[in-house]
Amino acid sequence: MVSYREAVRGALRDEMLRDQRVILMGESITGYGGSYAVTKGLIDEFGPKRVLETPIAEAGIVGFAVGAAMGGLLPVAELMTVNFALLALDQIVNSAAKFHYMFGGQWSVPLVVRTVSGFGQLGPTHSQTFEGWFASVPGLKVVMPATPADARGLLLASIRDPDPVIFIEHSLLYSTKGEVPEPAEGELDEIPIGSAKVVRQGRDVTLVGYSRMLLQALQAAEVLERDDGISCEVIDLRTLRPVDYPTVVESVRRTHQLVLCGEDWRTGGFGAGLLSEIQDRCFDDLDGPIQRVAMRDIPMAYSRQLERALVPTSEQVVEAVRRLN
Amino acid sequence: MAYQVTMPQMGYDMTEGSINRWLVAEGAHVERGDVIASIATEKADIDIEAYASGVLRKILVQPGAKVPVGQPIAIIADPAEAVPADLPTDPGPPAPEGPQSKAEPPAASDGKGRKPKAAAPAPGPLNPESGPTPVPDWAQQLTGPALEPVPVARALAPGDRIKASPLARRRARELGIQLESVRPTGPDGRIKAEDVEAASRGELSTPATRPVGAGVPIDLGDPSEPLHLSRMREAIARRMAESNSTIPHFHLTTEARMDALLQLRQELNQLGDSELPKFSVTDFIVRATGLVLQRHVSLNAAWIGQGLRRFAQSNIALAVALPDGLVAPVLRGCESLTFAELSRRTHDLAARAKSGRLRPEELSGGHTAISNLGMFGVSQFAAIITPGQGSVLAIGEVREVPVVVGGELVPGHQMAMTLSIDHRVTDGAQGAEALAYLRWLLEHPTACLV
Repeated sequence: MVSYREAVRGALRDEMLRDQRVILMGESITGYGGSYAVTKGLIDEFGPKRVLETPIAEAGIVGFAVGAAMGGLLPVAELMTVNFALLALDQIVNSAAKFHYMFGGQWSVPLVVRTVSGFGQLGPTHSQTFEGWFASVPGLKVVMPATPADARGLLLASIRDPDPVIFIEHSLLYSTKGEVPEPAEGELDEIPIGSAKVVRQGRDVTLVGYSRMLLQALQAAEVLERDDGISCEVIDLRTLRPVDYPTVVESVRRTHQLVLCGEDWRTGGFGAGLLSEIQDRCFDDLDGPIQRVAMRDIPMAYSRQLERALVPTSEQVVEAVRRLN
Repeated sequence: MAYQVTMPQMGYDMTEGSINRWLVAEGAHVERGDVIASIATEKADIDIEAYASGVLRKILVQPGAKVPVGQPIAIIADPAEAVPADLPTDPGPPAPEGPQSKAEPPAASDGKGRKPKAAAPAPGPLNPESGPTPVPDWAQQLTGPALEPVPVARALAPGDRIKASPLARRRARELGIQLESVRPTGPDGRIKAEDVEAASRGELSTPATRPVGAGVPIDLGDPSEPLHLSRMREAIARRMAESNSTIPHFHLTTEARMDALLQLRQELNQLGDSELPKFSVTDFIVRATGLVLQRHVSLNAAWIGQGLRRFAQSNIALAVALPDGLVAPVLRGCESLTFAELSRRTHDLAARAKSGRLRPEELSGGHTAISNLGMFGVSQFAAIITPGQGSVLAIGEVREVPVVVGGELVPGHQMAMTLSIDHRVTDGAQGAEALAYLRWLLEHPTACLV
């Protein structure tokens, strides 16, 4: 059993050993090991030329990384949390996502921006969820793994991908543990970007989640099976751009009911666009309105009780399914 | 284009009807608007018209048979057009199970342990969406959507949209099921796919709610045969039970001094003007009630479906006793009629109610109702609200009684009236104010003439 944190660290380490072009950069990622201790120890193994301590200047970090990527390296830039990624939005959106297109394919930006979503009495400016913003930008890929195995496999795929990938981890998942299977002989131990996974088979309702909300969806599925006799199929989206629509659509065509479970805001959040596309592809298969479980449209509170009232939970997933039935 | 004539819905609570007789033979040419059949509803006999021109190719339901609203009863098509031979000719639910089953749904989708369904007869070219909607023009005027739960199929005002999931609509198309005949079980009265499947299996008449007392053996004390119910008796039984079990009634009673009204009525009737009708006490009560609904708007409303609906017009249903039941034709727009016109229409409705010649649109759309048992010597009583209306006014006898005026005992005429109100619609104080205004109008009857 490996923790989510160890899985990310292991993927970084293995890929750095495999490919000399992989470098890390970020704030306090050397001696301190990063704010969530993901890069702990890597400075000792790879030294300051491959693990770069940066100033507290996110636009600089990503700008530097974009240049390094265009110059032939495979940089993995760490932004302490997704909240601080706002400072680097211009480099991410206007540089990383665009250069391949603006220069006729002469340049690629094989960059990974690792960052962290999550909450836990961190207050309004440190508890936000911006995956929907990044997922709305053509030219980016957006990955949000929920399990240690997916964190490893998707990070390897992200580093090897020729285009910029926003890799969003979750602070509340770092200590969760799971098996990370060894790849079979001759197989790549990466998980392809853009592939969702059916993690629980069911027949009555499809629950789509990602990152922490996948675990909430799985809990809800247990409750609904036990208390209501409702069989839920649970899909881990894993990649938010590009979305694996065929997997979701195939499931909805069997269950005819869909609940989208996300942690970003209800208004304009990632689930809103997802809903639009699925209802378009599945309209005649739907036996009820697509339900969304999302963050309340309110700046996050510090208070534990208020925070609990704002964040989406497995109970809300259960309620959403009951509303349909 | 082939066109199905279906059992029309004449009023929002009609769920089934029967054919009295066909007025056009199979093979005869009909023009749009021609009367082709007479049907019996719970309330009246009604002529139905063709809504498309062509040849009456096939009569699907024979006289005497009772079928649910929306069921095809005949086919009008061009003379040369192919008409599917496998349409059901045997009326009424359950729908016949087709020997040639259509493709079963894939096993994976049949996850709830349901048995495989027998498919309904192939819809063929008679896709319900390909022809004009068989809703008569007049029916568009009817008001009031379904009250939930409905016992058989969905009872809707024509023109109201049926709520059905996209999948349910698709399954209905595939199975040739009309959504009007499907009982919804989904949230907010939405038809779900499984409801369509149930309808296709002929489970049209599954009651939505368990009847009160069902399953409890009752000692009748005396062996008796159940009586054959007239359609009107059935309707009254169903609707009054629905009302009494779903509408929270409260009742307000007052008495009005009627001497001024009786005096005014006498003066009017003695004017000798042959242009004027002979006014009755009821005319004054109808007039006053119409004025009350305009001034006390909270009373001009009804609880329909899941919510409150407020009305603009004063539409008053008038209970008319018949030998085997009662009907309540509706006088619409009382507020804009002259008193003479109101009187003429009231008498006309009552006369035609007794002779069974009401038009279907005259039987619904009421916002309140008036029931008068004074002629039977009833001093006062409380009536039951008709579902879809917000209140009912029960009128007792006008009695000559001793009245105290300024400390003196004088002979006078008093009339008791009880206003029963749906408490979901409005409350006691509002009802009392409305009733006080009604009383004031009756005691100041010249205000009724304005």
